[in-house]
Amino acid sequence: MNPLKIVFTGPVGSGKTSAVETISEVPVVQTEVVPTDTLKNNKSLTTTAMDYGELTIDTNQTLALYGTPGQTRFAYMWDILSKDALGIILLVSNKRRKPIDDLCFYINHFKYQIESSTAAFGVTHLDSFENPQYEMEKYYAFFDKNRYSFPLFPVDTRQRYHVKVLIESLLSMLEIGD
Amino acid sequence: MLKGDNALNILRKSIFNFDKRKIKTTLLYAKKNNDVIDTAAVITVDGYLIESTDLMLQTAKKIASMGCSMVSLANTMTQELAMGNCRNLILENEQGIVVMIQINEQLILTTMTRDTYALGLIVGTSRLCADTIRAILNNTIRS
Repeated sequence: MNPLKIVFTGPVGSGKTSAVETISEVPVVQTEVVPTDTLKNNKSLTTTAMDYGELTIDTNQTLALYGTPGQTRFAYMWDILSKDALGIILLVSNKRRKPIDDLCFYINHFKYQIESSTAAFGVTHLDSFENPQYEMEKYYAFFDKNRYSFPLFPVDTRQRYHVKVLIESLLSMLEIGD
Repeated sequence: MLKGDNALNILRKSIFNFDKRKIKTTLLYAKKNNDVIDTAAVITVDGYLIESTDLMLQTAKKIASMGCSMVSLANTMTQELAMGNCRNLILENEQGIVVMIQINEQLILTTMTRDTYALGLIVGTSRLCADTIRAILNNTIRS
């Protein structure tokens, strides 16, 4: 049986590599390098090609997990990696200056993939994951305004359970679509 | 966009603390003295363009980001095979050859030839060029 594929994408520093590392059952293939720009003040390593991990979702079915680089100069990798993907998991960091603009940009770039398959959304770097409602309101409002009916969760990508919920919600969307 | 790029270039220059002109001179010298090199570029390991010859700026920028992805993947592959880091990466098709050589931990030299029979020559020439740039950056020679 061919492995199914999902892609974690989103802006730099949104937790894509961390999500793949957290959930993968095999050692993650990484292509990280030391940044040479201002990013090195915030991150010690950045992905330049892809992350790859695997997760067993059924006794005979493996889910291939790909993480994209975040920077727009690597946009060609987004298209390569998202080809024939089962769905897209879009992570956006609440710590970024304009996270809603980030969401718009990535939704627009992955429009075709999202329309032809499906997507789930995670908001990372919230101040509190115990009581995320206040910080999440602007994201829910954005989804309501645009009539998006995709799953949207506050996510700590270091928590296996959080990443698992995102993946399961994506798979549920596919079942609804079927 | 251009404004941001300029700011980044200024920043990059201060981060690396080297003279880009010396790298440009070395690339031009290598190209002038070796017919085999059609284009050359020095890029960073995280996908920024430092200098290039005979490439449109937008193309050179794309080559910088794609080149860094390829070298990074090649490193991941050789490490998976317990071979350590990748030193050279060679792409070849019926229209030419592209060679990528690690200059140091931060920089990569990319050269291209349209001579399909010049694999040995372009690899050798590119290694010499990379050695020269490394020496310039280490201040062991003056260009």
